[in-house]
Amino acid sequence: MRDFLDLQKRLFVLVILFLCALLLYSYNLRTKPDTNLFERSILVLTEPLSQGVTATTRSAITLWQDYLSLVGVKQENDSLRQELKHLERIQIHNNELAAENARLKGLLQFRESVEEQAIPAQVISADAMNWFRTITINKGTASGISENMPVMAASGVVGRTIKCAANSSRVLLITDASSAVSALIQNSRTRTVARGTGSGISCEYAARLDETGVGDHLVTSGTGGVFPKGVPIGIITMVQTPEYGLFQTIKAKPAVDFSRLEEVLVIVKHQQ
Amino acid sequence: MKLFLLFFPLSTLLLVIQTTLWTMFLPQVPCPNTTLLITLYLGFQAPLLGGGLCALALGFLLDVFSGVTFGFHGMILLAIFIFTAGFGRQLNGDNPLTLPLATIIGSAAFAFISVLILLLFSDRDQVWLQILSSIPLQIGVNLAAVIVLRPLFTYLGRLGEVHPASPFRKNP
Repeated sequence: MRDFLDLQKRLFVLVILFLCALLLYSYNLRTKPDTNLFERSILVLTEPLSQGVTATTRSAITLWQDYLSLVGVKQENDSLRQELKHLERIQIHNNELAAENARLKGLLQFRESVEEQAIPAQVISADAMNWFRTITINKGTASGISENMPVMAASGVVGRTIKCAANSSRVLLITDASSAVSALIQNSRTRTVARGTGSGISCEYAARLDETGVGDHLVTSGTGGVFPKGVPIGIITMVQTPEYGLFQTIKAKPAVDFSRLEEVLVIVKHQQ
Repeated sequence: MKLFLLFFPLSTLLLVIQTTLWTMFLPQVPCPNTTLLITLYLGFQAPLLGGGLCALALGFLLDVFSGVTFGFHGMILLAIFIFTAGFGRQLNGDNPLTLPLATIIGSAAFAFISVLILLLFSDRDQVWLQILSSIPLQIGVNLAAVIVLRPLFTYLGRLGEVHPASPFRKNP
């Protein structure tokens, strides 16, 4: 009888624990994304290990690839010399264009003002589970990064920071199912919401009567409060316009190749 | 406490490896859910309260490395621990097939509970398709991982003086 009561007591404690976990999840779901002490501690403790493993492995891969590339280095050298001559011609042409651009800017009284600071960071790890799309970068609050800051690559939007520790941050990619970015289809100026689908992007609430075509560029609208305006998100790959209804079904391919992403820029917003 | 001190660092190390090396060398193959495998092992072997707390901590740890909302995996792993401790211990824990069988059921349960929670609480309306379609491959990867990791779990279990004693039986 005593054993039975003892078992019931322990089961009761476990059920209470489960309810507490449920409440904690529910609370976190409804509050502004924040990094708690536990998350910060684990991120701080594991960041050197993650960074060390990533850096060592990348160095080993580079070393191996450099060794392999020595095999065909002579032919490559010849072709590079040719390419260099070609690039020199392009460089001269570009210098001309740059000078012309500077003159035109002066004419238009275009003001160059850098309002936002960008912090370069390296990708050190990916998400531990297969159905979430997040990455970890090697910069955090010590570099001025906080939650909800936009993260970019040279080719377009990467995502936004969701958890920040001193020297590392987790970034929610735009392909994650919980990511939604206010967007514009560049040609038609159709407003839409670019939502992640895991592997790509689907554009929600794009008005049915707006003309959208495959190959159109999807850019940030700047109205979501996180991303600046006009940054590439992706390219439209599929458009389905129903006969009835309000919205079109649009799918897009992200502008950034997330499988090869190594460096990113975090846009640090100035405090208003 | 001993249990926690042994399995929490192991889980952290496995998570670091799978988030760095696995994604670098095998980007197309899903990562094994090592935290789930440890939880299943604890479900069979660990005392009810200590194991439950450890499963919850492992879930919170997984939340640091995966997903968006803190508490998501903690809840799922605790539920799986309770089910394993309740029903899995009716099976013969010494049988080498028990843990692989539990891995198949546990992996499927993990995915279904995830879908259920995301559909009930979150607005991730398309993620369920992604999760359900990945279940067969995930089970395969988890099975391979449990075969590789089982000796390590057993060794750590011995160090932590964990005995396959079910608190659900009168005289274990």
